[in-house]
Amino acid sequence: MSESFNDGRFEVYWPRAAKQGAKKPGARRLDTMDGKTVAFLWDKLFQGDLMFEVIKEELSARFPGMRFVDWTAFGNTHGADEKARVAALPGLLKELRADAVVSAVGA
Amino acid sequence: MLRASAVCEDAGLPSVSLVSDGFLGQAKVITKALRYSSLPVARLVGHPGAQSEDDLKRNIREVTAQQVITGLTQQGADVGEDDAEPNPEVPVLIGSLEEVNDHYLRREWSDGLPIIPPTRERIERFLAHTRRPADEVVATLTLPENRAVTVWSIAVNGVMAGCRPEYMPILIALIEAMGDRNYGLEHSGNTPGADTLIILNGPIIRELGFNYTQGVMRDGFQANTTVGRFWRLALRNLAGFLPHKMDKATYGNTWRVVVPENEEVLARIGWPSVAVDMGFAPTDSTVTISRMTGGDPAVGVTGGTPEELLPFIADSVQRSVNWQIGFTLDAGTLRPVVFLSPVLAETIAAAGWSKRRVKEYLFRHARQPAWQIERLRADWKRHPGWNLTDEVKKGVLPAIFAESDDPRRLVPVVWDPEQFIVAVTGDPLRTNAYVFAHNGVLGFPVTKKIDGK
Repeated sequence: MSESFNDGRFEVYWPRAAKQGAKKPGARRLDTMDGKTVAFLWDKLFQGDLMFEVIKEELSARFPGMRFVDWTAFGNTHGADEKARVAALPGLLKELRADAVVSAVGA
Repeated sequence: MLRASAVCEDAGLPSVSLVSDGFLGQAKVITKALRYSSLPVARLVGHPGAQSEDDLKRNIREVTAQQVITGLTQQGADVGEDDAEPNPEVPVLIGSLEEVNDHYLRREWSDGLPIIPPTRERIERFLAHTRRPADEVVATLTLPENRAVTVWSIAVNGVMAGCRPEYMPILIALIEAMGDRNYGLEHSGNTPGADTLIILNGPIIRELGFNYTQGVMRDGFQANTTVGRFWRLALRNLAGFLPHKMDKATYGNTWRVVVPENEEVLARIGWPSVAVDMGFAPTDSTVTISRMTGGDPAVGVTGGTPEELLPFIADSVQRSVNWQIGFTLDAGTLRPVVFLSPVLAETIAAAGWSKRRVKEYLFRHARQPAWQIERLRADWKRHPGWNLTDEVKKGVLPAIFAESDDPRRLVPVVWDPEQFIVAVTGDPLRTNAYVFAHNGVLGFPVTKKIDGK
């Protein structure tokens, strides 16, 4: 059987696979930070715990009524049991009455 | 981290992710792959791991904190859509060998080596080696680019890699393994830059002429080499891991050729193969994948008994475990791989030792002083005060890690002997072993059966 080329010319195909899914918007943003509860999620990399402490200080100084949920309430969001921990987040966040999330560290 | 943010967004909670300068581009690609118009990030100046505590605090106060507020209170800019992609069924080019290679290189579809042009005739020769239809989706690789991999697209990459058509069932099994959530494909672009080790088992080794003896990890054997190359092309084209984009390997390395076990020797000494250890039958042909950052031989292992041979190998295993333990100890997820040459395995087995007993020996003897592990976590990873005894008291670690308070006590690198993966392969008559460092929690061993035509 001859190849689909003549005189050393090849008719070739795209080597990738088709992308899936339709784009969706993110959650509605907070109207204000005042009185809101922010939960911290950490992958236990690069001093995220220290970052959270500084962010807490900064946010508390600007919005005194804010409340925070420490990362330890959720465990490490990276690694061996990542899938189970991340899947449990919606329930835990609801239980802890969180309004928003800060997730770290991408580095 | 962005994956966790996405789950929160899905649950109706606004999120902001803290991302360092070097990963802002990757965050954008992942946002697209997760199919969000926006997942807000707050910038971490430079890299947080290379700053003093004072500098890090100042950067968080001066830059990151305000971006956290903005991200939680204002809708982020839409990341947009990529350009429309070609129809897989329509040729993308008609050209000479050089033109085809230039075209594929310019579009980042090639690894830099010449490819075999994927013509319809060549693709169809691969398709003839599977019962599965060309348009069947073998795996949807969610991250990083959310692509549905068809039998056709596997064949295209197999042609390009220089595989023979009869390798097609192996290529399909590899993509099934790549798509297995337990493997953790999404971590394949992480900074340690590990690459996949593919271990082959079963009758297919001999049927397709794989090298499983001397030089087993060397290129030069078509089946071993081209299937290994296929894996890396698949990571590039089917998953979407490209250097300078989603592949963030700090150094990286080239793909590994496929390593089959020497099953004739295994049958002779009565040891199970890696595939059997993973729950498959000796008659099954299988691929087992796991990600390894590196490896090193133990050269000139000498002795006539297991007791004489195994101390050297156990020492090589414990020396291979360094930074990985910082990621794996808490969950007991380290999976070191040890290759024994046939003569070593035969000598050990001749003394009546099973493979299970070898693993138990490694568990008891491939150990590190407690102070060494504590130094890594407490000092080098900046978790002041962290120690094994407290972790045992908290129930994080098994009791074996705190059998005394002596910092010089030796503790295992894994939780269970079965976490060692032992394979028999390589030069049948050379007394060398090889030890691989497992890439922490990223790239767990996964085995898939190869379905014949």
